[in-house]
Amino acid sequence: RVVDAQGESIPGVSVLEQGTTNGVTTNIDGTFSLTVKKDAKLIFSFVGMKELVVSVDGRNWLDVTLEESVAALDEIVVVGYGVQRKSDVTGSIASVKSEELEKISGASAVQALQGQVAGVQITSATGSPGSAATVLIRGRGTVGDSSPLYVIDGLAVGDISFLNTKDIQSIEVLKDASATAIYGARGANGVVLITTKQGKAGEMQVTYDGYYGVQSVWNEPDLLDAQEWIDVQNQARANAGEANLDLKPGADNPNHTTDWFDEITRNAIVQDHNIRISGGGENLKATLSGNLYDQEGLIEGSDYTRYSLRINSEAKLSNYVTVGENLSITQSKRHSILEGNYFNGIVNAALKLDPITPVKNADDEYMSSPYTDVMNPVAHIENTNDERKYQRLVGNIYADVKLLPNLVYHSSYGMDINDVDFYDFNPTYFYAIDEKNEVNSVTRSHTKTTLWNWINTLTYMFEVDKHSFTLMGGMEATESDTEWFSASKNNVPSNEDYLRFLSAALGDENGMGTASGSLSEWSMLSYFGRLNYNYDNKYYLTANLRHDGSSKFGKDKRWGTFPSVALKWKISNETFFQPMAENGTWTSAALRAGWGQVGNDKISLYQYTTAVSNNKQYGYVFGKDQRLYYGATIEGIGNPSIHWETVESTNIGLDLAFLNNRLGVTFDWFNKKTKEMLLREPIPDFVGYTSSPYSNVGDVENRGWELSLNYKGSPTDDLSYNLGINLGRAKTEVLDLGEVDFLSAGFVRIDNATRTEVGNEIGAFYGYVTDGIFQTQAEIDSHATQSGAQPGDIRFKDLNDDGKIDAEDRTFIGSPYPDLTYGFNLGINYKDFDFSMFWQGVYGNDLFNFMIFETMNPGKTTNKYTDILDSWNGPGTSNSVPRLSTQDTNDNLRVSDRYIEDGSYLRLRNIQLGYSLPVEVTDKLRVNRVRLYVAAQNLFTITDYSGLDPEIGRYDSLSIGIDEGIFPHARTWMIGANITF
Amino acid sequence: DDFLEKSPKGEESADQFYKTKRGIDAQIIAAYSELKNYRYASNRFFLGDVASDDATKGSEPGDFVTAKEIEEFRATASNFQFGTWWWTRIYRGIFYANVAISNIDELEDVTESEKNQLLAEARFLRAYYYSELVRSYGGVPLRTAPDQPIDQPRASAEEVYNLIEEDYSFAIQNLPEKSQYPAEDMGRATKGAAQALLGKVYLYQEKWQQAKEAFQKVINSGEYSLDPSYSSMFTVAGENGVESIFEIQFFESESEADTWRNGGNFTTVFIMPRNIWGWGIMQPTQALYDAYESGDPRREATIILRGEVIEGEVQEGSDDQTGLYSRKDFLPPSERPVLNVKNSPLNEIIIRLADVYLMYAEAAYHLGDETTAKMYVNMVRERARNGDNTILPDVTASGTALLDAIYHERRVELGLEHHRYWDVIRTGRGQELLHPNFTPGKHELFPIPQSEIDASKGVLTQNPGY
Repeated sequence: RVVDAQGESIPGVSVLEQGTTNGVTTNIDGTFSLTVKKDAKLIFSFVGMKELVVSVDGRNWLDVTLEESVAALDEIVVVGYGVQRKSDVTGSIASVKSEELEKISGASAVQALQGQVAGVQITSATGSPGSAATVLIRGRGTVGDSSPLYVIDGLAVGDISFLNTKDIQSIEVLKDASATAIYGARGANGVVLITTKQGKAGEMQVTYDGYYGVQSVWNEPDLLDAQEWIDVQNQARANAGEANLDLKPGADNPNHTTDWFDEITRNAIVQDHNIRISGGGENLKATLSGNLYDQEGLIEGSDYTRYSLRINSEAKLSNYVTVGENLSITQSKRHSILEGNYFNGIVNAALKLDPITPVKNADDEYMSSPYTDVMNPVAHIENTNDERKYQRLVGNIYADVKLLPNLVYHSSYGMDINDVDFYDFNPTYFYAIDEKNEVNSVTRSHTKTTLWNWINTLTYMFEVDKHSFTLMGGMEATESDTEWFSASKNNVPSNEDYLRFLSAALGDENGMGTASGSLSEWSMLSYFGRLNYNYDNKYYLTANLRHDGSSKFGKDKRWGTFPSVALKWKISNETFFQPMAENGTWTSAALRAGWGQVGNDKISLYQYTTAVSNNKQYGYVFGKDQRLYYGATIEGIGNPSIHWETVESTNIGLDLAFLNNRLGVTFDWFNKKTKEMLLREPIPDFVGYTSSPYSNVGDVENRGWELSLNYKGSPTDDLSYNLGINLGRAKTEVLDLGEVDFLSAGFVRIDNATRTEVGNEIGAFYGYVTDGIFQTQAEIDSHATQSGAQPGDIRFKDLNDDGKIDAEDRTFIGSPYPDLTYGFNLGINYKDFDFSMFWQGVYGNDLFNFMIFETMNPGKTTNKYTDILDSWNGPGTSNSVPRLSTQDTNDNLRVSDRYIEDGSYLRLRNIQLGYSLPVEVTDKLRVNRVRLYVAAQNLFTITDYSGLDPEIGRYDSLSIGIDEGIFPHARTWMIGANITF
Repeated sequence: DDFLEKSPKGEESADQFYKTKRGIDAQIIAAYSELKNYRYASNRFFLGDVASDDATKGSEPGDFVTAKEIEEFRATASNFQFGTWWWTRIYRGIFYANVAISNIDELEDVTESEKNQLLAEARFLRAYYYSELVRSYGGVPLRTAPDQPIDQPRASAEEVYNLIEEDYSFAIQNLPEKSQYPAEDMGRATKGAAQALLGKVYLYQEKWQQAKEAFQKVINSGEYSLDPSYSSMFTVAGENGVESIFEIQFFESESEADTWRNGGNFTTVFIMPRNIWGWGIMQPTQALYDAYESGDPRREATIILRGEVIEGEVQEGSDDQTGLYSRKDFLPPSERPVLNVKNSPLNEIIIRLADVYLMYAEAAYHLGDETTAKMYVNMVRERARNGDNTILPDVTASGTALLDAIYHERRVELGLEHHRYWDVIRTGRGQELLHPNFTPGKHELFPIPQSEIDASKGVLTQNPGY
């Protein structure tokens, strides 16, 4: 019988006769039986426990007590197509446990992962509920799609937005190629392996986890009030010799300031409730969980609701066959507002719209600004009715068959069915002649993606003396199709709720609406193998090989092979290390080195062929009756010779533990080189293509390091604490772009904000360099020729010293990538109280605050930042804010470092104080455990950035970090409870 | 490997598509469709009028600032957004025409003459697009097939003109006359249009004799006559009228507000007064207003005055620069599409008989035939006079005064039809008439977009002065 230190029996302990493959696991009551030789030695091992070797010495009854392992060093980690003891891992793999993830409130597990893993940079796209996030593992390795592969319980899926964070047992992030090579052509951007909670044998447990929170605005824009706005407009006009602004009746009250940002934001509720039932016996274990997540957006009109259900179970049919399944069903619903772009969007409009126009007029009708063509964002929200409903079924069934004692066959069949249902109703309204919709319309569309996946592996383990081998070989097939169709019809008889359906719409004069659709498919076939070898637990070798075929590429370029190899030297298992280990200061040490090649196949489908497009724009009419003729054309010529990008990476790592494992240190250095990057080579427009074909061009290098430190202490029985710090740095350099000089991107109305060029980063900010303000005409005269400049205008640097300011004077003016990403957490337990803090930040990145183009632009009738009140108005008055004039002959607003701001921030992501009711109380309540807590999320953000929020996750790979008026993140106060019955 | 064979579904494959007449027809329609693309069509007035002395950018100062750069000749190779649009869209049209041209030969089950007519339509469009390029940039890369290498240097202006002349000549031989098309094909390229536009490129090259001959054929064809009602030509009801030789067929795509899929005339939304559902861009100048002779009804047919009430709607914009608006792309409230202003169905005339008369007069003048020159100018004036003999007396001048009279007549007859800038440049009067920043020897041509030079692997050269 096997028990723990408290004398409780432990089911599921692996018992193995040493030197053989003869073994069993313990039953529900911790007992086991195994027929062995009299002098055999038995090895007992269990997750979280120290391994124990016991000599049988002829006994037929053994009482064994396992001790908990002090640190997590011997825990099991999930690797591609298998698990390993952490001490056997040779690659760079970081593991995050459920406890860390569960503290963070948010719809997505990706958000919870932010700041938790060294070298993984996560940026939420926006603060909108249900929005996605950008995940960069070890920097951006390609100008293309650099998002990682997500694998849930062995099944690779496109995204994990459906996943309930509370269902996650652990997340493993595979960072280097030696760890990801087993995922071959999809491993280049790193792999995120997610393991969901499994049923545990033992008494049935019911737990409740939940919280209720209120989100609010933590940062408000500094904009002009009505009178200031009028004064600024008039001054700018006067300075250009123009007449004063014509105040319009109904929108002419300088004593009333409309705070548009305040009008669109609210205190918003967020709540999350989870119930889990878990239990099982020797032959059947299961867990069932249900989740409701409901979040209102900080901005009116946005919300996200999700219901999810998960059943994971496993049945042991015999000593040779185990079958099981992981299944989740999710239903979610999202309302979103127009987040738009540099031109159009709710937040963008709230910052731009003049403060003198009221939200509504005296007749309680929405107003349209007579001064500017910026839309009324409150009215726009009111008229926005789009709704997305998602239904997702993700799961797999699997079987493990022990063909021989040391040969296991594993087969799993998985499915991911993703249904997205879209509804939109565009009502009729009329606020002004240029802000109206005279024909209402209803749109329904539906996207269904079905993916199946079949994995078969064989694993063979054997030992020869001190040589231990594990061989794994397998195949995987995946096929996915996505079908989309959409129908839309105009002229619903009225805006009444009950008529907002296609069936009510009258359509055009022939009673018709429009319909469209598409179908796209891809498939992948793979063969792979792995060897794990170690000698005496001192020297380790892992070698992977994967051969992938993908339908995304042409016939001759379809197959690729991806190898990797990694070595590890566990120094602490050498005899010379033993003295150090014994005195406890330096407990363990291991040195790792790995090399591998992996691929990135993330491009859109069918890029190797040339297809004909029949987009509506190609039609044309002839005749008095305007008969519409069908038009179609090719939009370019496909490139049949494209293939995946290859990433070659080298990793050197060090795992150290000190002070009896209380202090753990992991350090990794890496160099990752993307070769033959897939990109659309810019070709001249005179060729006539709509977009240029993909080709394999260019190399990018990422170099950096990661460091994580964990310290656990418990000075007294009542007090324990832990401290974790992780730091990561990834430096990107474009080494080669083939014949391409540079790639421009990030169009912000006036120009491109970024450039990608050899010797620099991907998507670095590019523009003019400012040099203060011309104070006098003499200063202009003595400066290089800057056409149109007047005193009070910005002086731009003549970087090439050719005596004139022109496009040649532009240079790299900022980097959207941080020098350092980091997170740290502190947890303290004292008696029944627990306290934790989690900080996350980035350091050294720049942001491009494009809103300045509107909010510091005297030529536009938009609202302005109060900074404009400090405009230059005579020598010596300002050296940063140019003169006020509607005529900007100097082009003060050209793309320059004027838009660039330091984007570093440090955010208190979560602070939490919990109290667990003492046993006396819980016993009376007949529950196992009750913990109550209060928490705050995003309580502080320390930053110099002047915009609404420094976390800007625009995810076009060539242009990140551009603030076009983003949906800011909220500050949230929460109360919550964890109860175990 | 069958498992990995995933070909596009629901899309025609290029290999098969162009073997069918249906495919070639659709490709030629695509080549036409570029005419209505707003990035092409709106540039017709940005370049043709805003850059000239007839119009100013209009609207609030911060809106469409790049248009101010055109107007004030401050455009550079890298800040000239409209130039990039113009260049790109025209070359799209050329690409679409070239795809048709290079595939027509493969057609099966089509007679030789049908093939020639298809080819003629595509070559007509290619010639038209190149004529826009050559007058904007001079010599440009000469794309005559869809898959030529991308490191292609500029051809000379002469080579471009040669291709245009060949294409139009082929079109003249193989296209039907306007009257030979069935009613539902009204608006397609015609023999007459090819003749008129060929005459126009001869005129631009000052090949007066060839120009005159080409125009003569149009005039003698009997296909066209001056529209008795000048103003009706610029209304929906007057589209494709007796005077029209070739025009852009805009249409109200009822369900489409989208910028790209839209088939409407964006110039309407650009030019209508700001906040009366327009953007107030391109306002006529006082100089244009004053250029009309007293009592010339064409002034009112061309220009709307601030405060004018049309069907009860007061024409007044919130950011008015000159107090004048164009009437030629204006839609009265009762004719506006309900869904979106961008869906304006109002066609734009590319060439009409009065334009041909005036070019014919100009060619005749240069050939020493003043009588013919005067006769055709006066025919245009007579129509404008509309029976009112107290206005617009016949032109009797000769010598340079006659040439000035022809120029004047072009300005007022074709006012705000996007010809003015090109006429001023073509006749060498840029410095005299345009913004003081106009530099002779430089501003006759626009800069080649810097992005094109960058992407051409260093093969493209810039125009002088930029």
